[in-house]
Amino acid sequence: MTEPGQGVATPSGAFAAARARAAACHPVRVIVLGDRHRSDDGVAFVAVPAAIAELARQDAERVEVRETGQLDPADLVELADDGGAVVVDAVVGVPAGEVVVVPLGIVATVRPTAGAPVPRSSHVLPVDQLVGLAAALRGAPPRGVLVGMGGEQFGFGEGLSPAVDAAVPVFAATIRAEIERQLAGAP
Amino acid sequence: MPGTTAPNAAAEERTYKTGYLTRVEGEGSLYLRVKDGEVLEARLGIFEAPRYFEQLVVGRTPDEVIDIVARICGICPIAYQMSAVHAFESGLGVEVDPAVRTLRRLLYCGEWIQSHALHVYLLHAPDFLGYPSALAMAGDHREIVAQGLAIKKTGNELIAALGGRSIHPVSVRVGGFSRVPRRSELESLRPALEAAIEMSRATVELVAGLQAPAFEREPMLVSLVHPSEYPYSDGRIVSSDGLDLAPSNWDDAFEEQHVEGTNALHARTKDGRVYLLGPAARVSLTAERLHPLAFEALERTGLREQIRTNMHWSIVARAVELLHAVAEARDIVDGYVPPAEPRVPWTPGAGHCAWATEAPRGLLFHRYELDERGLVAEAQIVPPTSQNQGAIEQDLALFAPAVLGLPHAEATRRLEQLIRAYDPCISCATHFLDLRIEEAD
Repeated sequence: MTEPGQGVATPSGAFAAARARAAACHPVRVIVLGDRHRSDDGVAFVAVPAAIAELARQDAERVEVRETGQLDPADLVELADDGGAVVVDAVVGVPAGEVVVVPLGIVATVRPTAGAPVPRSSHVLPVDQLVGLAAALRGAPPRGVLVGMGGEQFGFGEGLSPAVDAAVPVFAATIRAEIERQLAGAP
Repeated sequence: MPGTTAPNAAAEERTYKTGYLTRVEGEGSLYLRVKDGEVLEARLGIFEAPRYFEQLVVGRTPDEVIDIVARICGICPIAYQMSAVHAFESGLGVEVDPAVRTLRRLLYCGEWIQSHALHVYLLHAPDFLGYPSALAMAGDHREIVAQGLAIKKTGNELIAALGGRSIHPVSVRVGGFSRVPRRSELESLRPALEAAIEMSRATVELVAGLQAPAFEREPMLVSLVHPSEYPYSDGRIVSSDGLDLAPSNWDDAFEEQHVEGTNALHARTKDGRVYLLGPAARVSLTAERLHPLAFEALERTGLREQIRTNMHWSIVARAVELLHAVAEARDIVDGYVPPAEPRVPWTPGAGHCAWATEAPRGLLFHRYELDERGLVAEAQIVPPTSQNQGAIEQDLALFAPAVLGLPHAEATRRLEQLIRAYDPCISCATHFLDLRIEEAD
């Protein structure tokens, strides 16, 4: 079997160019996952705007917010080489309203059976595989964290469950703090 | 998780079980009843919770329905939108601007690109190359995985340009779009599409060089066929044995049935036959309408007949369609002239609205009955997976004897590989199958 890339611009080269563009503009990327029409699965869409609004203006200008619904490996592969990601999602495996922060390097090893927080939005491929794919293509795990909040209602409908709704200010503050840490170059 | 073997003391019955893996979105199980090496029964169970979209849309307006049904699937929301919008426009007599029709083809190209790239590279190729997942494959074939992700990204960008966002787009409306892109917006996608054409050509060559397990049968094939285009949203429902229906008349020849052991409805022909949808069916029935680049690539593989008779080669059909979609998208972008208006006006009212379009995994039929207020009174949505399920079970019964003598884990892997060839919605799961084999008395 022939490896691709001969005679065409290599895909890895295309991702490297995207990383260089990201470094010049937005060193930190906030990736908002979930579904705002599936109750607690939409908590990231509520909390991230609140977190961004509290950032200092010069910090907010260095942050790119991507509301993707589903995590795409390209979102992490294209991070600036020295940039970081804050992935925000509802999670299962922890009590509703509890906020968790997990380094992306560890997300790839999390398994549901371990009783650890698991991102709710495991669409298409499981999140651990998506982060692992990004690590394989970058040569190292992407820098950054998953900031998650435990949810309990994921059925159709807008609006958060009471426990999740009450914890949104804490969630937003945690997201803001993690963005600031990533802007400061935290691992 | 390794399988276990539990001899049943009551008779000569053998039961093999694998535990469920929780890191999946869909779950499936396969029950095989065998006697003397022959499979007497194959039953593929899908345990995903029943979805109540056919009731959710009751009382809604057509434009609301278009956004609601997109939520049925994160991989093929556009297919659901296209079947719905064409059904409403057909039933209400709405004629769209030809430029809108072309933009809808472009939107469908975006979905086929991202869906086919995902399946070929991240879900199916690991089976052929002997890896348990795309992640494991990436360790040895970094550029292959990067190529798949780069092509997929091009599809996502097309969808975002036309639909406002790449997942669950929001611009499709009865009569057209809520907004159409400027020419400059689409031109910015051209370099990525040009690169994707070259990468997709390489994809066809790559998958045509894989080793597929031996398997041969003569399926009944069904797809839309159009006199001059590769089918997305127009044409007639045609089968390999002579069926020829308008896309609004799916239920003249097919019907859904409740089947024990699954939450999904299964579709059959009205005389009880199973049939195959999707890339292998489309390529077999209407290859001559492929984009010339895709047709040429298909011919070079020399696998056209094998695509029809051996489901494992559907990976080549999917790659050929991937090349078709990126090439057609490039051509549409090159010739794009925005419509005078994003959408034409239309009048709500009562109507029988039905249509079928070609989702990445095959024919997707929608039917809506609108009351005198123009609200949905009744809905029927027939996705491709429920139509393919009978063909999957039939093929599993034919293929299984070749793997019955293998260790449980290997037998499961090979059966999963065959099931994944259909790209059913449950195929997103890396390992999803609970395999149970019983020896009949």
